[in-house]
Amino acid sequence: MKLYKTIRFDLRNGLGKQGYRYLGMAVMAVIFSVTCLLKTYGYMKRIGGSMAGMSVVNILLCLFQGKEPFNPDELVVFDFPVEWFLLFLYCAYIHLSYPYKNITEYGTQMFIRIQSRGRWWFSKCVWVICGTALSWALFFAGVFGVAAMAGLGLDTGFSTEICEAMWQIYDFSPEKTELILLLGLMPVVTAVTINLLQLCLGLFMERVYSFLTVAVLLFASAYFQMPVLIGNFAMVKRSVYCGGRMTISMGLCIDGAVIALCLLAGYLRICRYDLLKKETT
Amino acid sequence: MIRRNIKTEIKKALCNRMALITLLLVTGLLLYHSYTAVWYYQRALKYYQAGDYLGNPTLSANSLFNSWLGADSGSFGSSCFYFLLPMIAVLPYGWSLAGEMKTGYTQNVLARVSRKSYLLSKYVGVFVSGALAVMIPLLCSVVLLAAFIPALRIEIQYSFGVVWQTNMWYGIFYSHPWLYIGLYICLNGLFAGLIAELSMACAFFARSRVAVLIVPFLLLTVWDYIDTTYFPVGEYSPIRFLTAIPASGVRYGWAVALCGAILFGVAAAVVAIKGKIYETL
Repeated sequence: MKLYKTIRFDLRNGLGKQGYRYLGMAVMAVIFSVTCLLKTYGYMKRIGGSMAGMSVVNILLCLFQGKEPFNPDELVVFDFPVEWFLLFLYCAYIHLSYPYKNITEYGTQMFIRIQSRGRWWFSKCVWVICGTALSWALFFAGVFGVAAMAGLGLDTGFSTEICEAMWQIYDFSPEKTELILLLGLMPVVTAVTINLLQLCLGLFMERVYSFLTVAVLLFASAYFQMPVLIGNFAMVKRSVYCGGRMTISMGLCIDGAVIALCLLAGYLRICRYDLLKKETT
Repeated sequence: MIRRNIKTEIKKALCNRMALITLLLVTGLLLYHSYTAVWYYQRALKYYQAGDYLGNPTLSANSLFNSWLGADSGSFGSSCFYFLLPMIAVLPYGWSLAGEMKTGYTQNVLARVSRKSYLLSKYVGVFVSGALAVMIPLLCSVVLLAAFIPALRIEIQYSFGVVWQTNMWYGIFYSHPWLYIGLYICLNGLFAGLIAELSMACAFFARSRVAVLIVPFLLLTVWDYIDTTYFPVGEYSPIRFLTAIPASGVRYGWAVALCGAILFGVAAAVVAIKGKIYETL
């Protein structure tokens, strides 16, 4: 079986037959966006502020704001950004099971048909990338849908007054391209990296532990401002545009390196993977 | 017969590979937290001993009573422990019913014992494993840190590590701090047990062991999102109100009891109703 046929098989079985799981991202997008709108409206009304200029960018800033760098010396309680977590955790969860079910249920049959373990692995990587892209496309569709229905602007303009009053994002003035990369590309690239890392770790340990590792990685990203914790690149408050240290180019380089490492490690591992043992357990 | 079944289930719950791995993971987290807590204490002590303190040294701000794993809400170890608590509780044995239903072990057992006896003993086994997985590290943290950090009684005038009058058991915290620690360890154990029961209830809907282990964690994160977003005053999420030092807002005893009753009611009802159906078990 050629690579494209394997990919087609995975896309049909992994995405097509489990499509309802991806709708969860759209549902979350709608719930989070509506909540963000209601809270913003209520707060701005209370302080006598203006809603003028609010756009879809404000909603995305709200959802991807993350958390400002945390300093334990300030003796304050660490409050983790739950919305941000839920988005990445759910995205990781829906990409957790399919590849391993693929091995344990009809693994040997698959490998005999494909005739190459490498092809199987790269097909699963393509599936993860496509699935992650689809889930985030649905997420953005949900956010843009809510913004359109609320009559908000769908361009890159946004209200700095709301950013400052609601989320304490001051002096935020990136270029148009930087804004698109920060809010549109970085969360998707980060999610792809996290999901590929989870896929790769799943070959070395049980699936639940690979999910646990990813959850801890995300939590640690919110706690520590370190480039090696890749969740930092998906948080606006950690970016250089908000006084943080994370740049888009650094994020893309580190994410790229992690992806390359996962592809290589996964390939080497799958070549020595004991399929028969897995099938019987 | 029931007593023998319960004994067997508890033995199975405590002596399995997943319980051992969970214990190792939590021990790692506990040691990391203890190291950082002692490091912070030593730093404060050196600063105090150097004599360059101007004014109040706020000694009791670095007491055992607000430095142990359950109370140190600003540290990574403690925050991560409570974030992962739903997974820590279910990992040792929460998967057992799903696993046994999948492999057909349940049918073999049901040919020998009554359905009620099997489910009751399973319920007790899962509860005990979840409770112990959380209570043991908390207890170890108190014992370990007591060797390094003095148990100075907390003074209410400092802004960190205190319990305000608006919180549950605040009187006990100042008058009988050891009792307060004991009560919170028991409360954590109780809720961990109830959360572990959620995974047992999930087994009736999903046969996948991974789904059964992860769904309670995702559900409690959603619960936390609802709490932080819609009820900013007050703590109604187990992830928040199980910490011994209230993180934010106000902690009501009735809310804790209500959440416990909801968790117990949902899990027990599912097990009781679905467990009766012949086709399910």
